[in-house]
Amino acid sequence: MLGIKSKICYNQKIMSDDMHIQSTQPEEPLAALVVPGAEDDLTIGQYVEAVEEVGQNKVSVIVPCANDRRWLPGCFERIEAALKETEFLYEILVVDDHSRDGTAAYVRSQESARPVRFIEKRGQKGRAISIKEGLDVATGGLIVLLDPDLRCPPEAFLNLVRRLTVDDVVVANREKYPFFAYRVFSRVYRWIVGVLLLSVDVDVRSGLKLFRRSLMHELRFAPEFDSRIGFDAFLLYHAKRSNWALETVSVPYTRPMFHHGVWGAVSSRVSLVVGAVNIRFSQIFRWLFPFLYPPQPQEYFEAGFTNINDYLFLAPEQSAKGHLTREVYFLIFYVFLFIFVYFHFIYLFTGNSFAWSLFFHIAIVQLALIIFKLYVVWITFRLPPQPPRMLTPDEMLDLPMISIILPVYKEKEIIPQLCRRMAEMRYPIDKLDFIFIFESGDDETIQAFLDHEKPAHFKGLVSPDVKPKTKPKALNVALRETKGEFLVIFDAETLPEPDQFMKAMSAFRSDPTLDYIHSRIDVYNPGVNWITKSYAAEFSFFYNFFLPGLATVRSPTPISGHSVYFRREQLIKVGGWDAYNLAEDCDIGIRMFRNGYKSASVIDSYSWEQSTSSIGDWLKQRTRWMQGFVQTSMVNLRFPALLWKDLGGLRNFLMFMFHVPGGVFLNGLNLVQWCILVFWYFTRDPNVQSIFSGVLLYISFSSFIVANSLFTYFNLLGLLYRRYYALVPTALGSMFYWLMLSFATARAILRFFRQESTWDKTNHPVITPAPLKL
Amino acid sequence: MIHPAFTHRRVLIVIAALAWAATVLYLSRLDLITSTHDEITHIISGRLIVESLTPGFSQVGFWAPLLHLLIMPLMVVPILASSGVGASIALLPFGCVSVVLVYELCVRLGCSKNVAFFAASLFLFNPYILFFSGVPMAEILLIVHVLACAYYFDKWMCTRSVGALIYAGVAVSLASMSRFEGFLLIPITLCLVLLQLWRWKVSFNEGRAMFLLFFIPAVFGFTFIMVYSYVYSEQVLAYGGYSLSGGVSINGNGHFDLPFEKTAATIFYAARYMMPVVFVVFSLPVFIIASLVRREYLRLFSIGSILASPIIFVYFVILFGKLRMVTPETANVVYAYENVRYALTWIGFPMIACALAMQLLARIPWKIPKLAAMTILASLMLFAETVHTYRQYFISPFTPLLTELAIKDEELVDFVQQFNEQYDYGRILTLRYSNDFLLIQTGLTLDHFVLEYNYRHFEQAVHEPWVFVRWVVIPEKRGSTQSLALLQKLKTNKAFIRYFELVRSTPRGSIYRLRDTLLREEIAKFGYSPQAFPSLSSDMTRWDPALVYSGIQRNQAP
Repeated sequence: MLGIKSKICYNQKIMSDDMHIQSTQPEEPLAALVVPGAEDDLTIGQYVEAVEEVGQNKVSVIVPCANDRRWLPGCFERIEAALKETEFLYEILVVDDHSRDGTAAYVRSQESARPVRFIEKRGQKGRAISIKEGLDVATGGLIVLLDPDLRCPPEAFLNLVRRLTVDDVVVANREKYPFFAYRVFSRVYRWIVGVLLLSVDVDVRSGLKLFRRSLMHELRFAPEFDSRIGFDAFLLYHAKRSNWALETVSVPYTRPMFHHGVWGAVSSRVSLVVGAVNIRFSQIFRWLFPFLYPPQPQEYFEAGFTNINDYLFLAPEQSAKGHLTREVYFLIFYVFLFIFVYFHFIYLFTGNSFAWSLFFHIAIVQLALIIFKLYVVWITFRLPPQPPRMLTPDEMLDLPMISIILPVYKEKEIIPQLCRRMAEMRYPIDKLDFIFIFESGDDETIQAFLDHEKPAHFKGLVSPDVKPKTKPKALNVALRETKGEFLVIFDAETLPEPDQFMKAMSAFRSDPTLDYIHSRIDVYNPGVNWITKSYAAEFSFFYNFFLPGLATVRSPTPISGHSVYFRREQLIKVGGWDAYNLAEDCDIGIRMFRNGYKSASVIDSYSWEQSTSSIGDWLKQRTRWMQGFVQTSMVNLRFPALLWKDLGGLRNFLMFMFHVPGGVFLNGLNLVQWCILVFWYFTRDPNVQSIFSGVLLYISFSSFIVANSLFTYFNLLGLLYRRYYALVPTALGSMFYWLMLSFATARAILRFFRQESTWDKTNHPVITPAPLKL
Repeated sequence: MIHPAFTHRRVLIVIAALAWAATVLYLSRLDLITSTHDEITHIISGRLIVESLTPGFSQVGFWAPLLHLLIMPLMVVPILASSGVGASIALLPFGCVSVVLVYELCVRLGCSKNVAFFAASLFLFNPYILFFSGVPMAEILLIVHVLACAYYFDKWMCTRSVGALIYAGVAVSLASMSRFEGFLLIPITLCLVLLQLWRWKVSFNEGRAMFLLFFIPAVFGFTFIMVYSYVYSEQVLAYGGYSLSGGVSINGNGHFDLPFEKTAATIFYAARYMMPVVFVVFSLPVFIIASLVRREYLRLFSIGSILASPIIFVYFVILFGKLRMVTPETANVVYAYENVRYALTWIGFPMIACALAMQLLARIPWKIPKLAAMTILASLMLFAETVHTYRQYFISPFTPLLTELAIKDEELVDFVQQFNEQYDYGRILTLRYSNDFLLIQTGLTLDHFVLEYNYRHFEQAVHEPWVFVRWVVIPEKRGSTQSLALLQKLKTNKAFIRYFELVRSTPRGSIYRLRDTLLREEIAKFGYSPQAFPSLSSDMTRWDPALVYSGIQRNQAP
């Protein structure tokens, strides 16, 4: 599993007030050398680094055997003779490919007399897999691949090793063949397989190759590395493609032909050709369809990566930093190509125009999305009422520690309110771990925090001065310092119910399988103007009628930015937040689901936040959210097949599509439909009428008018449910609110494709929460 | 010990389903399912939505649309459409639910389960309830939604359940989409909601919120009808192609501005045909007495108002001359019965009154007198119901309905027969309503006909019928709509006379056929292809009038 890397060392700005501001301490160095099989505890990079350290002067000779018992004594003797007098330490790793000729017994008998290790093969039959398993346990800095039949003389080792001081891979080229016909055949074969298919002019069937151990990391995770296509061909091909220094050393041919029989000779040559062809096709296919080849999870972290910021950011493959990657471009291209071809077929067979086909399919998707939303609402309505569960006295004595992260940025005025509310939370103080996280450079807020009289257990932390200065990056900094079993974030202006911790812990106690818990979010300034009223209506619907249904159906959910209770361990396992994502909450919800943390619940406890009250602020906020949704969609859809697999199949994949890209799509489409309606109303354009006729008209009408009306009514119901009676008439204007949301979505899409991703922070003026007149 | 599965409700549903099946069987044996004008029209309206020259929403028609929308899915099966059984199947659940609602409403009002069961049984075995549950008519839809509205409204009054209020609003909406009598439910229920909110002394904001919550679903149906009417006829309330504002005068019979007492008497007589007279006479007094005794004035007033709203609507519509209702006792024109069935839709009111009466007697403190009184009352009601049912089923089966609505007269049958003898292929230009019988009896699919609901197709076909249709059927009777006037004008159109020959003329209508040889000769002179003329084509390809002329220019088939 991915994790925050432990080898971190950076300088933290130490604040003057040691009581309240702590600096994050550097980690202890890697304690011990890793033993094979214990890789899970370290990243691959650390493992490789550790192995290299001890194996600088050591040669690991990997001898893949398959009923080669008769060659082994001579093989061992000649290896010893070749290496004994040199400065190199060495080990001989015999990987037995299920031999039945006593190979295992013989090698084991030699283990005490020579530096020989018997490796019992675990995987399938085949030379490539033997080599791979040998490589897994090799500890030498130099790797020699040697066939036990000694076609290439081990005495050539020294020559090879000497070359390796300047080169990366050295191959023993067999030059002197027993007779002319064999030489011709070998040269032709070498040209076809080597030059033509693999682009290397070396003896591709050479039984002696030497390369650096350090190359293995890259080699292991190369996309073409497939045990079915043979290791030799892959090594040479990859060496060429990666511009490794590839050199040859001439050796004589020292064995008679067909010593494995005619069939064995033919099949080995054919399999090499097949492997080389496979590599070529695989490479072409990968180039054409890069989105089908996700990187291996271990590849996310590079070997030896010791950048001071590496714990702050996700790997590029998981992060929104790259925006539009090559995979996304290709995927978009293929989707458009498919649509074009598909619509062309529709035109050929039905005569329907492209425009009709386009709007028809859009209408179908829109209808499906709306039906899905209605389904979720229906699920919520069917949920039985949850009676509040109180913690038992025993549970009260054994409450877990909760870490509370409070990111504050340029909000000095709100510090007193925040500190006051946090101090009011009903939970044992010794079980609370408050971390206020500030941005470096935000001295006013930091000073305000230091100056404010606050409880002693409130800790402050300053995020390193590294861009981007975003909330998720700050959260990642704070995450490392948290100590609690559970973790919750509150925005600076958030006011949770005082007993929310108790309720959340009670929910975790009552269902230990829960991965995270949502609380309901409300606004404490709903009555300011139409925007705040509509904001309240939107939240009323979402948190009362939609989110509980989503949690029940175990769907990939874009979770809230605050007031969500996580298990800290799980957050660490998923790698924390994406510092570049503008909707880090949406992103982490999906990533949690992809990592198998699917079980969520909604507790009946409210957190009040401040609604934006000006159109400008609202538009900035929603643009950021929607852009985050677009980013999350693109990040996850870079490798759609992997996403499908991670989410657990079609159902969850569709749910993701419905929630994240679907949400953006619905909002954007709303604007398009309004435009078409207004255009048609004023122009009565016959083209619009001819496109929107028959079935398409009904579907579009149902999706647009009926759905808008229905969800307007749901907003009204939501307000009624929360007893915001005075706001109920506002819900009737929800259509116009959604239209504004459509504008924000359009702006977000535009910003995304222009690769603008600045974090437009929402302004939160200090407002004294006052009860709304009901 | 009674098995728990045999609850009153389940037993009622089973009995209702069995009674419905028997009724459908009986009605189909008497050929009553598709025998009346309205039944056929409803079936055709539902069928046209899926099987028209211009299928879709435009074919729903200007009647209250719920029935047509409900039966539409079953109309795609030809046998279910032509026999009318498809509509019966669609209405079965509503028949069953209406019985259950009577039962539940009685239970809500405090009646014992046995009394509620008794009242529901009286309701179920009313011959007209069974009749309208089995034929394609909208009465049962209105009844069930009025009952649902009363039930949920009462639930809201007693529990303040928001869900119940929403359901009541939805029921109001569906009632107004079932029949026009449902329109009155909207103002009545809105007033009742306000009254109840005032009584609860809720704040202005809460009251407004609750009112909106009810108002939006309640007016949805009415709004839908208005928008539909406006879009397709440019009048906010159109009915059957006529404007409702014209009232009955559109039939050329003049207004019937009856005085109060005569209107009341007419409704009384009509109701007497629909249900036993004892129910009609005593239901209102029972409600009043029950209100006084139970001291639940607003509650019973609300339920009574909702249940009686259809008949109140009918009363005022007659009073203002927008509707004519005739019974033999009040006959003043040629009809013995007309619109008598409108007096059925308030049947929930007397049925609940029966249960309330029994419940009132159950308050008698002495056991034997109480049992005796209840037995006597139940026997009386049972006797009245039995006599009524027997008379309607066996003495003069459904006379008030069939004498008014039956259209299978000999002239019409002969007319259809003559058309069938002549018809070979091609599309037919005609009108609905007066020719619905023709539409259903030819056995042709409905996309063979060019009707006034095909709008621009119809207008273009009337303008130049020789281009578009092979047959023209001009009705001779009923109605004076603009469409009929247009069609009848063709008789004097020279070009029409030139290209069409009269093949049959009956008192019900004239049948014209295209002189295709003449038309072919004439278009050959211009070098046009006959394939480009829909009137000369035997296939039933749907054409667009806007594209036919350009097709003729390019010699392309439409």
